[in-house]
Amino acid sequence: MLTEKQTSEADRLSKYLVGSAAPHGAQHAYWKAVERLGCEMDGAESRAWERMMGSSFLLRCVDAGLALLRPASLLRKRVFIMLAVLETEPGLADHFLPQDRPRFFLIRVTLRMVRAVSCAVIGVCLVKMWRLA
Amino acid sequence: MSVPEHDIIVVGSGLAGAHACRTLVDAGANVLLLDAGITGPKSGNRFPGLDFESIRRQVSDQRRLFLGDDFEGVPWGELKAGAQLTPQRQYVMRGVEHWLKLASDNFHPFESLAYGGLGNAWGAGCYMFSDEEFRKMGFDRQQFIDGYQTVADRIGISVADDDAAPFMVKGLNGIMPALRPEPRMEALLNKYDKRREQLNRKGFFMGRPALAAITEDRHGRKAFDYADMEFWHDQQRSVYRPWMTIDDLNERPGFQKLLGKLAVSFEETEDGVNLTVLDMNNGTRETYRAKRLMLCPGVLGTARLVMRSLPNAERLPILCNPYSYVPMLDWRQMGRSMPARRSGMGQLVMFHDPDGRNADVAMAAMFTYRSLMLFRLVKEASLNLSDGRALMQYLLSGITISGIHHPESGGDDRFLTMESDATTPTGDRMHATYRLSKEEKDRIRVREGRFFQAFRSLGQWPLRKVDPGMGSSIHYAGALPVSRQERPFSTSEEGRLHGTRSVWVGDASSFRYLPAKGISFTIMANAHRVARNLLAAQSYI
Repeated sequence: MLTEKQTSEADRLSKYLVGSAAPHGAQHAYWKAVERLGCEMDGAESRAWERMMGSSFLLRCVDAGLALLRPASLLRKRVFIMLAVLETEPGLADHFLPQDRPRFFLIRVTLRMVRAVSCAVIGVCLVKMWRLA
Repeated sequence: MSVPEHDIIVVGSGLAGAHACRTLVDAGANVLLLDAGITGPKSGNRFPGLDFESIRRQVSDQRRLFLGDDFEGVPWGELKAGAQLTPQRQYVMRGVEHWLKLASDNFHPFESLAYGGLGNAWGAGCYMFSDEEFRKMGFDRQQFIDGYQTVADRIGISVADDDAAPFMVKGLNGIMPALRPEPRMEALLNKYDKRREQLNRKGFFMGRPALAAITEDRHGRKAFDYADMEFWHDQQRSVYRPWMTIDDLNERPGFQKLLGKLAVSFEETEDGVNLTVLDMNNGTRETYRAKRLMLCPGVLGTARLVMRSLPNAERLPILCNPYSYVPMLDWRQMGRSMPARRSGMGQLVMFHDPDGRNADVAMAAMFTYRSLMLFRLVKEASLNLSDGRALMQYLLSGITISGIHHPESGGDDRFLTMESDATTPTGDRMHATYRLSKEEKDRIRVREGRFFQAFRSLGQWPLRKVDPGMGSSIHYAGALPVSRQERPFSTSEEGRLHGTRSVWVGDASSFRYLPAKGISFTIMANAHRVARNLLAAQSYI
């Protein structure tokens, strides 16, 4: 059985990555993978992780900052593990398989890019301020 | 002294070992194959009939398939050779760090102790080398023609008759039609056709790759099914793997194989050779005796054995193709679904032959991407993983990955040594040094720039160049270069290790030059050639 905190972390990551709460199987698989792959964080990382779990905005920004400054960070590794787990959920396949262009395709891509770059700018500042890289 | 029990011991069950055994057994020799022989699932037959997309949408326990029982299919950290192996293929490198320890700051090769060796993770590309390439390697091409045809008959090759064919497989009998490329790669070929004259003038030639993948049912093997379960997808033996040849030999008289044996060293005797092996199950040392020994454990494995066995082996040379890969984007193909049935293997190849002599050729193998899963691709983008996922999902159908291989002649700064290490089962470890000169790096950069220009002219925009470091091409050669003089640590043209009477080298150790084209087909042809020479040189059979 997962604790409420564990379930909440899995859900937070799933909402961040695909916009919906993690299916039950994915929650368990995520924690099993975290245990098997080793994600022990030190003090600064633990504190940062707590903040990231409290705010989707911070999660996105710190992830973006680390992608540029310290891509192999354990914080990012945990998000990445959830990404891999979610990709193997049959119900979420549409979030990962190539799709035909949606309406307003170029606008959607451009907006995503703008958001990604904006978050990266803020994230770089946060990562430096919190001494994560 | 007792008579050796076997005519010939073959070390290694990979591409070279399998075809050496086959040729020797066909000739009636009594052969013992010794190999570490780590096994894994032989093919992805867990969901027969289903293709990748169907499994992704329908199968609830797909996690084990794509991520592994212990999530070993979730790579983290810097990319290195073998990092993209799927859980089903990871047995290919199992045990290597323990049994084949190698230290280096600048050379990170990919070795295997698997039954069938690196052939289990072979991309199946088949390339015949040209007269000029063989001359640089130290051989006459005519010596290899029989081997190429014999091996082609054994493994089954499919190829198209297009501009790339003269650089790959030309003039062989029994060749099958090429694999079907996916529609957007066909569109790229059409674009090439329109610009052919201009690109050919600059030395670029493009076409479909020659692959050891059968497109017609043959000898109990099924034609390629386009299920696209992984890059190395070889369901129902449609793509050739060396274990198929060894499995077929199991029923033949005169053939015996022992697995779980790591060859350590050899010693010549009056009437043959003693081979010392380490039993990998109980750690004991055993000795096997034969009239002749044929070394086929791969270039690094052969180097270890020779340096342990012969006196004054301070260092041996090594060759490896410089390699980089380039994700490229075709804007017009973005945001499109992909065909359910497709091949994850090489879709197209482009050769750069600047002087038109097929002598100094560089090669780009072009792949599309799907069954290796999106998460691996998202990890390599310098974006947050959420937006990265969404953007990569749109970009995926427009992305082509091009692996660029360069030819390699070797140099003084590229060598292997052995040093003591009491922590390893063999009591030693290999040390490798591999440095390219500034001039070589510059030459490679210029050539890659020319490839980028050619890609752009076809609407493929390089996004970044990834340099995974020396060793990552997984093509190795040159540790015991061929020599017409009886020099130590070299081989005769026939394949005998100079300074010995009974030891023959069947892998790529004797090649003095490493063409950029894939080496696997030539390794198999060479093993057949050396086995034939060994038989011809002896009168005991």
